[in-house]
Amino acid sequence: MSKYPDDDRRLQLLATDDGKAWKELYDELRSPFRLFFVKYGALEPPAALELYQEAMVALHRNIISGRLQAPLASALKTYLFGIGKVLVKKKGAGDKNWDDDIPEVPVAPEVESREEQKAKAELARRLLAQVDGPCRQVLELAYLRGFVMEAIAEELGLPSAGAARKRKHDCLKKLRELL
Amino acid sequence: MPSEFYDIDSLERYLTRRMAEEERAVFEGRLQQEEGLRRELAAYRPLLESFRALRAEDFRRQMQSWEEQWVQAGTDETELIEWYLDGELPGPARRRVEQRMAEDEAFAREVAAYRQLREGFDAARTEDFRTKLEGWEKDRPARTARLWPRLAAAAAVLLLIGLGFNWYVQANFSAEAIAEAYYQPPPGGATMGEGPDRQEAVSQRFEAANRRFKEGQYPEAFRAFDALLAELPAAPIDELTRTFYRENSEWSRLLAALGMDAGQSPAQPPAFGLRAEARRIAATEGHEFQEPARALLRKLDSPLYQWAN
Repeated sequence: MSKYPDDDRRLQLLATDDGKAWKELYDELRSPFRLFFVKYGALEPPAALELYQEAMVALHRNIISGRLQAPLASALKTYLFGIGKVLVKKKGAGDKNWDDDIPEVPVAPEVESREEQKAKAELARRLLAQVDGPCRQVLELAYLRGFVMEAIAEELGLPSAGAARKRKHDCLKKLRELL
Repeated sequence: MPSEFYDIDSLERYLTRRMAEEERAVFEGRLQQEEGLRRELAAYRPLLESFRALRAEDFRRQMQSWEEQWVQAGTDETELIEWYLDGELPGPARRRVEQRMAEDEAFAREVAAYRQLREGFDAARTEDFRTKLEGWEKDRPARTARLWPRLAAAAAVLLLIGLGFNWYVQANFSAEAIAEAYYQPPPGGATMGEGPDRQEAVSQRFEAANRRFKEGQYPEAFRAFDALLAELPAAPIDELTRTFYRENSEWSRLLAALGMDAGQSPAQPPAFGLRAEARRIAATEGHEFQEPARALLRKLDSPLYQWAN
């Protein structure tokens, strides 16, 4: 029995990287998140906004990667605030001990390093620019837009999900050779 | 082993944590034993991480476009002011806002404007609540007595909030104000179908009683209307005129009694039951003042009347 049926349904939508669903979540939690960390995290409003975006990125990653799945043990809001608390703690900001409040959501360490993340993103851009169009297309669909193999096959007019998977792996190998 | 012999699907599922626990354990066993597999894993890890980072960058760009809407709306400043006015901000954050108010005149004006707006909203809510109270009282007159302490408490809060509430109540619900509001002066030179010679005496007494009322001499007006009503049955006038004088006098006598109730005049005669008379008029079909009497009763039953008197 789901404890958060509404959030579970929302999670399914967010997992497909639905832009509208993410924007709604972003707009909905922006104010309460900022207030919470201004109030309890002793952050200035701009810093609270920056933290909010970092936490959103981490939540986005956890959801689209399938690491956060239904049925949820906590509300989505609790997860997001938990990520915010983890980030504040890792940055050594604030004097609050929130350990008991943080739900089990892994927050990848690179979340804190924007520079490292930018460098990694740049690598992907550079490599994608070096492969042919069909390869770039299948890799972008798979890794940047989160399409499942069936959807990739349909999008690219391939005969099956297996054919899409094979093309994706072939193209990934090409990138690996470029490293 | 050359790289093409390794299963990319397994490598990817391991790196993206999509392997089942048992399969993962087997894979990690292989990793310990196979140098080539470790090399492949090390090669694919940055690739997949770079895709993940690029996707995060895309998501950040999306967020920036959403943020632009927030910036255009300019709500953050308003929100900060609201947090401040709500008392949501703890010490340091509150002090920062107050310091900014001291240094930035425009910001201080904004805060003052929002404070004024909120007070307006509070007043509007109070008004709504007051209207509801009146509605409840109209619907449940029998519960007035039990509700009264709570209503009185609510009214006390309203008074503290101020905003002219007390003035409003006094102006609209004091006995004297109600008497004046419900009073209907007779039409000038009222003739009801009879010649002036036959109705002159009644008319003069009626007009004299009304003058007393208009001058606020409620006890005198009460006695004058009361005496007129006692004489009307035997007065040499037609029934239509008699009814006119009787109904008008009954109503004006009732209002004069209410005016006496205001405490500015001697108490009304004990034999006269103000509410009983109002109920009688309200229950009399065809009485010219039946509807006003019903409205008057609702007003008398209102907690605001109790408050004002």
